[in-house]
Amino acid sequence: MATDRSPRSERLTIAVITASFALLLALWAALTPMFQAPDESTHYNSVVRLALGEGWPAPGDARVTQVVRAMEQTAPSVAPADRPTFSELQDQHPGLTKTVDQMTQHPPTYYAVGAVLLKVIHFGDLRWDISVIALRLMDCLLVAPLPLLIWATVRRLTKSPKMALVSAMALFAVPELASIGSSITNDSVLILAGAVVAWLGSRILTGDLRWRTVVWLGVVLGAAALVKGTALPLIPFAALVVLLGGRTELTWGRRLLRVVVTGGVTALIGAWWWLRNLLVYHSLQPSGLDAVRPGSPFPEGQTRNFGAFFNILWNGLSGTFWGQFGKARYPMTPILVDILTVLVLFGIVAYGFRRRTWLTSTLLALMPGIYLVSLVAKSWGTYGHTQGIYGVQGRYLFPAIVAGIALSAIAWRTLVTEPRSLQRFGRIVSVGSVAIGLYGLSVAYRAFYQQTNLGVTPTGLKHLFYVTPVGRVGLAAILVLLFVAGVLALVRVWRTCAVTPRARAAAAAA
Amino acid sequence: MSARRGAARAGGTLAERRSTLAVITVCWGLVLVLWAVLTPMYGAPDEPAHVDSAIRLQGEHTWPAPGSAHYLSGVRHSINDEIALPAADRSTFGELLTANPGYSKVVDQMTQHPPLYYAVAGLVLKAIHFESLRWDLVVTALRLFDVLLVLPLPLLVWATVRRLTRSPKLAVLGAMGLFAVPQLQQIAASVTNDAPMMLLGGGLTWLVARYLTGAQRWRDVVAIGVVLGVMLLTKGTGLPAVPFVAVGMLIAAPIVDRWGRRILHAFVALAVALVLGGWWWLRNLYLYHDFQPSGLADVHPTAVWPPGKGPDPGVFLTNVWNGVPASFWGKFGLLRYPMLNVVTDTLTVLAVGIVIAFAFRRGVNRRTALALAVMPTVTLALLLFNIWRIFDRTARIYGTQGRYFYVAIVALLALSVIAWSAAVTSERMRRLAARVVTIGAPALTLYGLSVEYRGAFEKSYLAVDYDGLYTWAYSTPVGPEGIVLVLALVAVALVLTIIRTTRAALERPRPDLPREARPAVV
Repeated sequence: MATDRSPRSERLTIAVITASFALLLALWAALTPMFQAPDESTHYNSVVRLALGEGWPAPGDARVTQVVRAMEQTAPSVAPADRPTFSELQDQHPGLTKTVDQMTQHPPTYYAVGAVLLKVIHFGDLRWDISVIALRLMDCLLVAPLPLLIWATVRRLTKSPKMALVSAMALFAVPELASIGSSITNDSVLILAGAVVAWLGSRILTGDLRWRTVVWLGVVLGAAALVKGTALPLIPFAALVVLLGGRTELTWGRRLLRVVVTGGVTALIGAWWWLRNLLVYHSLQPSGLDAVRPGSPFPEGQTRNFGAFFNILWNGLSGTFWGQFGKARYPMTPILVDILTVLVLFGIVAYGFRRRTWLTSTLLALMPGIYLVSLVAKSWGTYGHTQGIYGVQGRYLFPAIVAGIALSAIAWRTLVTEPRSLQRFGRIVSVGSVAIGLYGLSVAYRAFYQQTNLGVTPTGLKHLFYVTPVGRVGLAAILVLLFVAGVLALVRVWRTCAVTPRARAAAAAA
Repeated sequence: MSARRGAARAGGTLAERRSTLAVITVCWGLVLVLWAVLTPMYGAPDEPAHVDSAIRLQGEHTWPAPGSAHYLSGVRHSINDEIALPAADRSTFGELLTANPGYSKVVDQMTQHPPLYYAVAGLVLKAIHFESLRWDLVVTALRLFDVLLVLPLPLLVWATVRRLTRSPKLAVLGAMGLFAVPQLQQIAASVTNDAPMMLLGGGLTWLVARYLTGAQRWRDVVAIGVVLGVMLLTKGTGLPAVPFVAVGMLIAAPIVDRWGRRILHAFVALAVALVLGGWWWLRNLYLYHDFQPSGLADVHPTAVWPPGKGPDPGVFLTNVWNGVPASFWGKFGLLRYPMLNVVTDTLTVLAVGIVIAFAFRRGVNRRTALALAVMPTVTLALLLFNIWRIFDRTARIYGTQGRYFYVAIVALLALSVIAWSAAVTSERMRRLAARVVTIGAPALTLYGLSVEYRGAFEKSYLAVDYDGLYTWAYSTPVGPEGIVLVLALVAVALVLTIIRTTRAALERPRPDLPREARPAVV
């Protein structure tokens, strides 16, 4: 489809969408109480350890410090204004607790970057919650380019600017992503890396056969491998994309060479950590929690129940993918979750794979597919060792979110062809996604500040404005800016979706 | 070739032949028999109470006030002491009732319903001399009686869809839809007053569909009134059929003349129904000051909400959503053995989503679709209202069961056919969708049967082992030979049905026929 609006206007629209998403992330960072995101206190603990120059112990050897424990314990009762600086609190609570900080099972890259940030802002002299917020905002910055990357990817794959903008809006329909992306976690780097890999992959699949694209792909993969082991599933996707992209233009030998170069760059940057693990610990990723979670196999006569496992998998994965906030305790309604899950999966399965573009679709599906399979395999294994079903977290699929959205875009582009339906579809998705994003915020707000009751009361709001570390003015500013940017984004996308005279004429002619 | 001759030839398509419908009906019956043989004794919702009420009514001709009927001690004995026995060691009902005379303390809530079904079941009991039969044989006989009652369901779906869409192929696909709801099969093949309600609700839907498409003579009107009246005399789940009849008759496309005639029709139909069955509910109102007094009111005590607390809408909605759809498709054996959530969620969202999005498009079928939607919608509203009322009173959530919609199953299937045929328009996708129905629906039946088997005999493990099969073989009254026979017949019937319906649905129009004479493409 040709661009009917000028590209400049389209660029402005995607800029507004990206700004809205960044502000949404900032709002989540300000809304979520201290350490109420999954594993946030241990991630923070590990950043601080590096910032204080105390090294990177072997997996399972690191401990949570007394000062972080004190933060966790006092956060609900001490108002931000009364909180001491990090140094003061550390003087009051020196030393280590016995709790294992399992984060040293990961490479230290993310934590080192966080530590640099903390040092730059002289976190010791700041109120301790400011250092938490600073790290959260760093993560927000990492995840903020996602709408842009989705737009670029979908535009490349479907050649439809409308679909690209609508797909970027669809990101708002995954409140869990905003909630995770705005908390302290090395996942945010992986989400960004997965998005960039999907985008570079879409470029290669649609004819960008330059060497620099391949090299960039290697660089991103290598860097991601230095951050977290969950980068490894990106590698087979990238390898296949480079191998199969440009089938008509390049010979097999040439494409193999490109794969080797990509792999070489990746290995050069990121492989050494994992080789070191193999040499030092004889395991690719020794678990930091082995000592904490002893095995407890099933007694004689009982085994794993496939049905029970599968139900927990289905309910748990879908629930925690779309939104189950505050350490996975406060779920969005299963009605919405089930409807979204079924519609998305149905769209992809029924319409995602067309004869002309099946290769692209299959490769895109591979990315979430590999994450899903490894998650299920791991969880099934743990179920056998421990009789418990763990690790069923939809957020583990977030590195593949851009690939998933792109695949959905391809599917719905096939399903919705008529200009009028495309207009309706685009508007419903955009408005619906924003509504779901707001609903997600409301679930978290009600959980954290209203005892999960329906409604917004002055007491709850007062509580929020009192507790948030960014202060009344900061929170109000974020809210106002988000409102303005969000409305602007919606209006612009709404107008973009309108049936153009040319499209109408083309439809009439056909 | 003349158009008339072409039309006569078109009558010979597979989808129009009686043999196709016969194959489907035989297969349907055999699947139900398998359910009757597979489900352990009293292993369906409220089955003991239904059996107890039938026996009480035929023996003593009494129908106590709701909540004041108690189980016969003999029936309780069969539940408590003989359920785990091998079939061969079980007593006859005569022995049970003689050895355990009188009543137990357990409330049999079925006298909250009108007694019609139990009276007819009582006649069946009398005819088979139930006191001299082993009790599990008696329960099985009542189950098979229910199977007979619901046997015409494929015919009713077929006739309704055919009447509304004029497409024999869609009619075949609609009838196959029955195989996609395994829970309905288990309920229909157990002792319950839901079975006659499915038959009557289906018959009423067909009659209203006829009325909507022009069968508006007085005898059609009276037939509608009679069926509605019998429904009202069978179970309260028939109440949503009252607005269905009223709306259906009022919004029907006028064939003869004006509004006045249709208002008169609706009035007469409802009056006939009132005289036949509606009086029961007025009697309730007069005697108990409640439309349907609950037989379990004393069993579920009233709860006191702490001050400032009350029923939470979120908890309510979540429970309804997790309970009602899953138990509509398949949550077998006293709601203990669910099908996988992924299956029930997918079926629910797609089925409801497609109907909402496509059934009510502007066009010839809009009135029909709106009329068909009345019965399930009112059922839903009453169900929600009831669950909420009980939640408010007892602080617990009861009754989130999808089977209350089975009275409207024919309407739901007809609505689905209308919606899917509006949603899937390209020839290629229509052929694909037809295959999905003719193969997917029987696959769901098999899956449902497997869930019940594994729940009842394999502790829900994904397994078929000797212990499980042995337990099944010797706890069912038909024994291992009976099981093998039924299984073999079902297997053959399913294969034949899949082949025949797939061929019927995919049959190409004959190119030598003039266009208007060709059968409608699926």
